[in-house]
Amino acid sequence: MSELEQSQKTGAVTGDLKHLAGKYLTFRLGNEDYGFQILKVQEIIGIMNVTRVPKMPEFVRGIINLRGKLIPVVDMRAKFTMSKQEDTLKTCIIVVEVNISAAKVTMGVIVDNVSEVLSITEQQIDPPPTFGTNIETAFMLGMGKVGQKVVILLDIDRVLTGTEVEQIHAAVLTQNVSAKVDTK
Amino acid sequence: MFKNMKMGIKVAVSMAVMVVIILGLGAYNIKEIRDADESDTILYANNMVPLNHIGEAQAQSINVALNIRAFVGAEANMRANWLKLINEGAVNTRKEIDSFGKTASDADLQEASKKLATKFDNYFSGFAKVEELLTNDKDRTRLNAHMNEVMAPARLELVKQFQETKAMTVDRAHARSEKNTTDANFAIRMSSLSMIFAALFAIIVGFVLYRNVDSIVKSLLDEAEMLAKAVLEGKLTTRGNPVRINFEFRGVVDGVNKILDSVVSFLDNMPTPAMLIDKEFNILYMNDLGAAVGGKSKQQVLGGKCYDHFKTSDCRTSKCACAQTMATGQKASSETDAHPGTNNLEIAYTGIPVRDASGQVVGAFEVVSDVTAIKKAAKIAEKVAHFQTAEVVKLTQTLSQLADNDLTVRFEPGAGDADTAGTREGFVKIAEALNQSIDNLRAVLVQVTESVEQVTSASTQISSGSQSLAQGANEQASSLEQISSNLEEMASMVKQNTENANQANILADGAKQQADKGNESMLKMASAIERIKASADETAKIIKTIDEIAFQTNLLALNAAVEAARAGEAGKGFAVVAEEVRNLAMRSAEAAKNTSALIEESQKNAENGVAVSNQVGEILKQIVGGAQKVAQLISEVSAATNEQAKGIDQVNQGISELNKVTQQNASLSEESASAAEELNGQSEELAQMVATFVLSKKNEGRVMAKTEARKVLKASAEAHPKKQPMLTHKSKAPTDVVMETAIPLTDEELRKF
Repeated sequence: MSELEQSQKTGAVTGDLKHLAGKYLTFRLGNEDYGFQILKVQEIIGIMNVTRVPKMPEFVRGIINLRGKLIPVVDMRAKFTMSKQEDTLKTCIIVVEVNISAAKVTMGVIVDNVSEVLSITEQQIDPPPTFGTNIETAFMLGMGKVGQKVVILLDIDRVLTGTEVEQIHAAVLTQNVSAKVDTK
Repeated sequence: MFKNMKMGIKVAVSMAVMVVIILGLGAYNIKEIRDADESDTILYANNMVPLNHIGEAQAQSINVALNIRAFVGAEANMRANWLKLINEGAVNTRKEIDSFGKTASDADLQEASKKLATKFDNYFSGFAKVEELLTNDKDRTRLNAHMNEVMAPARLELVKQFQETKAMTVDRAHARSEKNTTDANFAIRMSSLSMIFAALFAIIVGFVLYRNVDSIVKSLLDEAEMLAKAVLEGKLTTRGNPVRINFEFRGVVDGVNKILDSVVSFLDNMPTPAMLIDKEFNILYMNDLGAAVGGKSKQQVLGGKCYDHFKTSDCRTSKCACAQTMATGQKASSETDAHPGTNNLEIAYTGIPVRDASGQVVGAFEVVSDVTAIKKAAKIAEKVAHFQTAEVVKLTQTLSQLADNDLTVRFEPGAGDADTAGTREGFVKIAEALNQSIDNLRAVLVQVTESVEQVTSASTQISSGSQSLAQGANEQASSLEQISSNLEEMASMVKQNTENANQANILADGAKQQADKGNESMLKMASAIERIKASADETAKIIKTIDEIAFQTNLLALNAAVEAARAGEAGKGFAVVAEEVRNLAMRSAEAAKNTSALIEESQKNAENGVAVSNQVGEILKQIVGGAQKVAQLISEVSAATNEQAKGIDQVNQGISELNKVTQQNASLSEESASAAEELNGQSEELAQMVATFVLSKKNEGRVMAKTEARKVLKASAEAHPKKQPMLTHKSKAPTDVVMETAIPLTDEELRKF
């Protein structure tokens, strides 16, 4: 784990916002802008054929074959209980690395549109708003203010809860094994 | 029996016997000729053929002997040829001798042939020794000895035998020939005898037949001569006796008798009396009617005197035609009165001389005609002629009175007796018709007088009517002139209309063509717009590709930025590059988006353009249709105007004709007025003429110069028939009616009148 990564993580917990400053990959879901910490992002690919896997939660679109490696793909719209929308030419898959209980899992996240890589300073970041006790805000690192826009900075590790990711991972693993057996 | 045969059968039997004799003779001759031919064949087969064989055999044997000589004298190398010839000759000789034996006719000759064969074999067997000696005996002493001692005697024997046999054969042939000559002589003698016999038979039969025919013809001639003489002398009761004639020719006499019977029956049935008398007036024949006139039968009058029967005034006078005929020998006729039996008759009769074979007059044939009725009719005819002459004179008088215009005369036929009753009837009919005609003529003339008065008054009325008519016609003519000038104005206006319509037509055509061109251009434009739309579509596709490329580039730039971030400080510069690349991608995406929007708009515009051009095309089509309709309407207007112009022309023509007619009417009505006055004068004249006829006894004093009145009548009769064509010609115009009925005569006719 790199120093920056470490600091970002701990900061989220402590509420210190200094460690959150840095580069973010911003994207759009609906009318909102979201951002991932750049170091979490492995690469960005255009939408491609997604193989559905049975018995998965609704937000899991399926799996893709990325240069010989099978990775699960999560639909962010479904995850954020937003209205369904057909894929467009702009629809992208952002490949991220997720930390689940000290294990690293590579996953794809389907977003409406990838915007840009933004450098966000400490002054531009506010903590996530508190709407009341019941509403969970832990998956948000903070709110970035860029010009007039607001960019919601997401903690990908917490967007997907631990159990969910494990389930998905397990399913993908079996797929991988079977795929390997098949190729042999 | 031969005597009782018919002539034909006699001739047939004689001919049949002759034919049998000739056939027998011919058959005998044929048999003899065939025997001679057979005998000749035997002569050839039995004698000539063996003789030929023996001659041939002798010739061959001589050949053999000559060849043996040649063989002996020949060089050694030539001997083979001679040997061959010798052997061939020997074989031929034997063959001929055998043939002679086979064809020889009797045993002696066959024996001779056997001897001949033996002697030849004997001779030829010596030749074997010759061959042998020729090879062995070099000095030829033995050979010569053999030739002289053996071969020569054998050959002499052979020659002698040949001569004997030949002589025998020739003897046989000679004997055969002798026999043939004897047979032929016998046959010639037999044939000559038969021919002489046949000729004698033919002469006898011919003589017998001649006698037979001659006697029959003689008896027939006798009978015919007798009958001819009897008929010439008027003995019409004489008939031929058939019993005197050969039974076969009795039909001839019977036929002549029948002819006589039928001729006499014609005479008997003649509708006039006829008789034959001799020079002493004895009746030789009288027909049925002649006898019946005197109330007697034919048999009763036969042999009596003719003057006792007919009792005429001519009898026993020189007037009797029969007496004249017998005296002069010429035909003579006469007329007289006769009183046979109880009758009193007027007769005409003719005597014809009867001559015997020498031309001497021996009697007369008299034919009588009863002319009693003819004489009576002539008397009646004379009476009728007298009556007719009288009546005709009366009739002529009546008619000449009538010719003098006296219509009061009548014709009455005179009274006649029974004989003239028929003729009188005809005159009564003439009288009825003539009297009726005179009555009718009188009635007509009375009517004519009345009519003339009426005509006079009518002609006065016509005169006044015609004058007013003339005035009316003049007025009519002036109004017609005004109408005519109005019509001419109208015609010129119509002509102007036609010209305008034609120009409008040309303009409408031009409009139509322009609209057609516009339509064409619109179609071209629509297709151009379509092409623009298609290329815009293509461009849109390209823009989409560019957009995709921009998107991919953006992704690549983002990935590069991600990588640069990972690289920390080292990747800073790279991050800037990535940012720039991303900006470019964004710009190209933006440009593509703008272009796409523009193209979409141009596509929309193109579609709009197509729709608009279609609309314009539609409108242009409507314009074309409208222009066509306008052109059609204009041409219709033009045609109608033309028709109108024609119509006006016709009306114009009609009016000018009307004008002519009106003017004619005016002049005619004037003429008719003057004519009516003249008519008035004429009718008065006519009344005077009619007055010349005497229509009743009271008016007798009014009879005028008759000839003049007749001339006037004739002239009016000539003028009258010409009224009719005038009436039909002018009755077209109703205004003319009054005038026409009043004055049917033209100027010329009036002048004539």
